[in-house]
Amino acid sequence: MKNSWRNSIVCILSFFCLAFVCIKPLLLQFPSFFPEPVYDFAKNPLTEEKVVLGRHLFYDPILSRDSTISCASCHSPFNAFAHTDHDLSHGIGDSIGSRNAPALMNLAWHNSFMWDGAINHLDVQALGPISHPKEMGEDIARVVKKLQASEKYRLLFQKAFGQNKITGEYVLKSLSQFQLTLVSANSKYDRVKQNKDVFTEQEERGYVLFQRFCNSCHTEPLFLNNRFENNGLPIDPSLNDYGKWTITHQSKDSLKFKVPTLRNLTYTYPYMHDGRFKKLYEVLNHYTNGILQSATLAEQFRSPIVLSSDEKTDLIAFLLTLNDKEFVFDPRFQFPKN
Amino acid sequence: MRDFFLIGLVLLVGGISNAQSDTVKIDFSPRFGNQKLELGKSYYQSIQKDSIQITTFRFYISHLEFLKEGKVIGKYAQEFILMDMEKPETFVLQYIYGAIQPDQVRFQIGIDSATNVSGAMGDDLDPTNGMYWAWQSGYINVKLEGKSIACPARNHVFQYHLGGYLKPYLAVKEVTTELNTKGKNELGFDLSLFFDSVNVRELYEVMRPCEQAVKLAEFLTVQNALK
Repeated sequence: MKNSWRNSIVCILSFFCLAFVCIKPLLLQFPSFFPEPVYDFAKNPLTEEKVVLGRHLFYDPILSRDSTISCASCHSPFNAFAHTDHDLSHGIGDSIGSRNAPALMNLAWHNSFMWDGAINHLDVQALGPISHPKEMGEDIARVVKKLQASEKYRLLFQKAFGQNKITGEYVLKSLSQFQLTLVSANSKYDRVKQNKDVFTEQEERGYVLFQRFCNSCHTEPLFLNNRFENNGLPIDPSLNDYGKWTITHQSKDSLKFKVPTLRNLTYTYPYMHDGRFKKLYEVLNHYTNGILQSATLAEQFRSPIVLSSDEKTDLIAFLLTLNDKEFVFDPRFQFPKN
Repeated sequence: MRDFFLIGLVLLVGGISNAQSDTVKIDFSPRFGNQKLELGKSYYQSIQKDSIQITTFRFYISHLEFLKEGKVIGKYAQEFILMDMEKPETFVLQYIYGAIQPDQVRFQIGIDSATNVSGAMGDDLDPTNGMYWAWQSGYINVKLEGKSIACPARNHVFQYHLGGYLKPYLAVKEVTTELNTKGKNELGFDLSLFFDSVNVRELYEVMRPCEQAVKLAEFLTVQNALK
């Protein structure tokens, strides 16, 4: 009698241990001086299994119509998940799109996505490139069918969601989970903020200039403000891209684009929504000499910005302190080996 | 003594039976005039002098509530229902009510704004249902496609994808209508009324949140043909 009671207790304890081992919750790690994320983790709590699944999906060209284009095709880990060497990103069949793919990092702190704010939640962002005829040219329903036919993915979805019936919701939420783990917070700037490093004199001068001229839009510590601004870029007549206006059709949104982060700039060139600037000097020269005045121009540019050549060099020296080499070479974010 | 017990038992069972709930049936099957809508069938539209065929008709009904004298007494368990001409079983709902019989039903045609900003969801809200705009976040509340002789588009195909969750292009409509608890309630959209108001010669493609989408959504009316 004693033995059967003991066996029952062992079984019950084993069941709970197994259940605990099978699903491993994760917490997003970030420095204490970062604000709280805006992503609602209660609706999609991080687990190791879902992050692993999302990572496999991120690097798998199965998401595209002809299995040639994955998310990583335009969001390369070695470029801080941006697309370098191309002003406009290209997709299926070498189609060239109309914008430069933005870098992916610190996405839990974004409340809108895409240069024009077309997407209002990270969980539905992937639908855009998956279905765009010049990106992946696919359809989420067909993606689900292809994944359902794969033994590898049935197993991964079983581990992540407790069932091997795959749905669009599960595909999107697991992609979100992997992308949410792409936190870049170990640059020299971050170490200085935590009193673990010190700026050089030049970097310090650059930081002062940054706080005076740039921080109102590229706000520390994420170096973005979740807003859309017209930064005076003359329109490219070959693209006629009016930014947020293309979504809202409100005249106040004409030529406004999402303010991007300034982290990892060494890895994420070229710059701006259409990749028109290859070098950071070109960006600064635009702000001092190239602003086009218009009705929707950001207030900060109504008066000229004056920077000497030395000041531009100092400012760039500070911007380079936002590079996070660890993030770019982190094996946890790269192509999954198993 | 035994007789009293038996009488008491009968009264108790009778009492319980009277307290049992009843069912109200609602049928959202679309119509064209006084006919039940059929995909691919031609319908003559006398006001526009046009012949219309419907090839796709899908829409969301959400937040169904049952009312008595203006007060909510119950809610339908499934909050968001995707109704589809290719799946006629999706049009018929049965609601079991308790002691109070409802006299009205209230619902929304489409998906509310809060749900539109809540990310990816499953079941009838799963993006694989073809009712979510991939290029710009937001649900398509109503997808109505077909052919019209008068339509100047390629292959005479008209496509109305009606959505929009932000003002001024909020294309979600709330409907309150009388309910008959004795028989079946036919609350299907009468597309003959829709096409009375829409000139397909001039407006045949709407595929984003805009003024036309809001206007077209208003033309979808429900008239409870009580039977």
